Amino acid sequence: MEKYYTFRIKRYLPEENPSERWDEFRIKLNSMERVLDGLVKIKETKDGTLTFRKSCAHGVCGSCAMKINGKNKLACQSLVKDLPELIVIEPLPSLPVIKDLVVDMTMFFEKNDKVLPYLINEEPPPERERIQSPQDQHKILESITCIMCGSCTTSCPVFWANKNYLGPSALLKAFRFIFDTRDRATDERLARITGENGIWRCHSIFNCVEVCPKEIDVTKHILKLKRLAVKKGFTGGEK
Amino acid sequence: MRYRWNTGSIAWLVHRITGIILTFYLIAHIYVLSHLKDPEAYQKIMSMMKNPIIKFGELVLFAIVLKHVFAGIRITLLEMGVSTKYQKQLAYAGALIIAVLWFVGAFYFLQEVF
Amino acid sequence: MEISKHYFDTVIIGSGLAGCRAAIECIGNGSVAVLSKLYPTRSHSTAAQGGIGAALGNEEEDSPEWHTYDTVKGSDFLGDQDAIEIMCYDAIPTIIELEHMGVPFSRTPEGKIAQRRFGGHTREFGKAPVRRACYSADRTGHAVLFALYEQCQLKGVKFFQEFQVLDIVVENEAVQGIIAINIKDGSIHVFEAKAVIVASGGYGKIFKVTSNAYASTGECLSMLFRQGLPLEDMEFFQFHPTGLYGLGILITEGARGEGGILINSKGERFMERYAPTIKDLAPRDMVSRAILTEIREGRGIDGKDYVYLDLRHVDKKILEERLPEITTFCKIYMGIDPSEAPIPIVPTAHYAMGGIPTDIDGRVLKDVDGSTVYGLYAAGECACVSVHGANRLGCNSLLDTVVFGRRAGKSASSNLRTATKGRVTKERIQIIVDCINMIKNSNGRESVGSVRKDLQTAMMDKCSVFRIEEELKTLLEEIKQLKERYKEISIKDKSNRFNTELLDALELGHMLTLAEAITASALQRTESRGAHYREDYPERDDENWLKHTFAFLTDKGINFKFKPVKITRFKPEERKY
Repeated sequence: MEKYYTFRIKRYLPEENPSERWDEFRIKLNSMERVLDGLVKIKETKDGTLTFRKSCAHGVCGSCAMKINGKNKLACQSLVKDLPELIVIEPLPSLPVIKDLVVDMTMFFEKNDKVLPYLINEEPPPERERIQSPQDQHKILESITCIMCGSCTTSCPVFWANKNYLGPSALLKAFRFIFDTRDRATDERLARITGENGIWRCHSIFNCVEVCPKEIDVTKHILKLKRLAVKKGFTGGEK
Repeated sequence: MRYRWNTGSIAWLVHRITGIILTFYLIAHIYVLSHLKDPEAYQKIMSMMKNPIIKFGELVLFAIVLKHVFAGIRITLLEMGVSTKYQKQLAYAGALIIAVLWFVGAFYFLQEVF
Repeated sequence: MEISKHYFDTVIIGSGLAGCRAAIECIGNGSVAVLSKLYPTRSHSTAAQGGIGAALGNEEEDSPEWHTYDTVKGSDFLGDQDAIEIMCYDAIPTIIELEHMGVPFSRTPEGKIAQRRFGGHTREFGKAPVRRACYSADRTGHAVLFALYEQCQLKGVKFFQEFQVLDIVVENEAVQGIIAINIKDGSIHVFEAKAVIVASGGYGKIFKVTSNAYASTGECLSMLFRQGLPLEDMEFFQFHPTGLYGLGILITEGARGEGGILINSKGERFMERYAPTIKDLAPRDMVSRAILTEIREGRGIDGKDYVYLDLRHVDKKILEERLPEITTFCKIYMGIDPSEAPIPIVPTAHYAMGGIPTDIDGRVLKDVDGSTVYGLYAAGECACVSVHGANRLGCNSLLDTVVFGRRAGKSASSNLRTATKGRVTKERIQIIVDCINMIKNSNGRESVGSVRKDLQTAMMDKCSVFRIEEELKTLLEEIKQLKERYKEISIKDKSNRFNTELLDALELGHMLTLAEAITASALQRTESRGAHYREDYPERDDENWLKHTFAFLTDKGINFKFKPVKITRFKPEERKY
């Protein structure tokens, strides 16, 4: 079943004057198609200058996060049939825009780097795999599904107000390693995430949970980090 | 910048706003208390308190206090480990309890007036 | 146009599993740069679902020898057995090493790496399915890619993200470096290097229905091909049996490994007829053909062009724990819950067995005699070692990327001391700059979208699972016409910053070259083997065709040479499951 949709898109073309504007495109899409298909169709048939990131097109790479009808989503995971006829598309909020729907995510990735986002274990490895019980593996199961699309951090009012806040995504990454039984750098990480821009800035607003395309309960993870930090005596960035 | 509201962010915002209002109220409250120097002044202020506008204000204040308290309880419960799955239910349950308490409270408040 | 120059000892193109694994091997030896046209963790390796094969024997008895046999048989005896043996024996230490790097594998009750059944993997040389695929739910690629990328970060590998390669410079029989564009601002960057490792992944976007990402366009293969270097076994392109109907989104073979079955309109488990021993867990080429045969013979669901993958009888807990990702795909894209309704599926273009020919150490071959291009390496899906031969087994691709990514990295590093620094000439850069300007200034009437769409449709219709001479010939003609249309292409976006329309146009040119190589290779191989099925030559012909195709681009079109298959232990036999 095909139907017409109006895509209202916030444009930013830095090499044009004026650089900012809103464009509307009317296109026909079938009930299986997604916002990303619509954008590709517009780019192919109506306006080649329309710019957005895309890659896997089924919600595993995290390229196409954008604000769709006021909420951060993956364009490839938003079926048009679930949306009203008018689809308003903007880039992810609160990051510098490079062009149209493409934002500069450097700031977002740098936050991630701050939490030592890699397994640290300097003990000599055993001959076979390190043993980890399924129960222990389940502790990090949800956190390892993160695709770093940036939806969560850019939906967080705390981040809107304070760009130095580590944000849900980086804190989730910290959780992924802190709660991995094979990791040995819990204290270093806790020191990094309990400073003035760390976990204590999270006010349990749950915007990150609402938008996560992988349905990760990010706030739950941050709250667990808070409890661990209290238990281990990390309050202001150090013990 | 417009961003869609949801239960969590509304709860958070209302918690902040009620907090700010209560801060101002406390200042006013302390100011008034600091003027209770003799029985006459006490009588004067107490009679002012009977004013229906003030009574109405007290009802609003009561609602704000309730909202703020329950928002605080919700966050505390979540931080203490109550499953975040229930964050919305906690907010709704809080709103329900607030409404009940407010009506009961309002009943007694208004009895004084009439 | 702004041009910056860089020098690195080793430059790696692509930040998927092969690229990251190679980088980890190289970082101790000289400077390393990894280029990716995406953010590294967005590489398509992340979409691999089911598992990575290794005969760990954690769940039941297994041996690398059985793994070798299965891979040889799976490849329809076209895989080089020396390389396959290396891969299957290396698999065990490789997986253990990945685990040590932090890959969050699913676990057995004893805490070891969990393993599950996968298509074509058997015990005792084909007797019964075996649990060999190590997995992390159905997000194995994602889990491994993140761990490798994280280790790269830990070791300080320099990543150039959102840099797209425009040319790989091979001159005087040696690699000199590469030319790339910084997508963010459109500036040209030249990377001179002693060694270049190509790990650019596959090119499934040539087909209309594919599980591959938009980024999988294969331009790096075409760049080498256009410089006269060969491409090996391009006719072998794998179609994964279970792609979501209408979308091509992959539903892992692990779904069948956990007990899922395929059914036709009669509700019949039809794989019992095609592969009586291992049924639904037959290799992908056979299952894909079986599905399409069912559809052709009118047994598609409701007479339409799809069949069902049925998971209704699989324990709900297993779906939740081991197949959560595909469960959500079904819910999001099809609106169905796999525990309650069967999933409509159809084969989808999935994996290129062919690619840049390399030896077992990742060195790129320039001819069938085994001579190599100095300093140039390839690994991963873009390369053809060949371990997959005519058909890849499920969960061998991730294994291929890490095993041969590591080997390519190792051999690149060990040659650094004696290697000379590459030099990219001004003329070479000018060609690229001119090409960009030409596309930007063109007033032609064709658009990237329409030519690309026609190419994808034509390839899907005429060069997918079933192939026949007439259609392949027509297809070659069509590709020629598309190439003419491509000359008339113009783009609306003339800007420098994030000009994806320009990059699409450049990619399309390379896709056309590759499509031609695939079609011509398919046309000349007059037999059916693995994923290459010719309806006019339905039998395997070992006498004439037990050899690898090497396609060369010359002034007079595509020429072919052949390289014998390395057979060590397992003599070709009839492939029955």
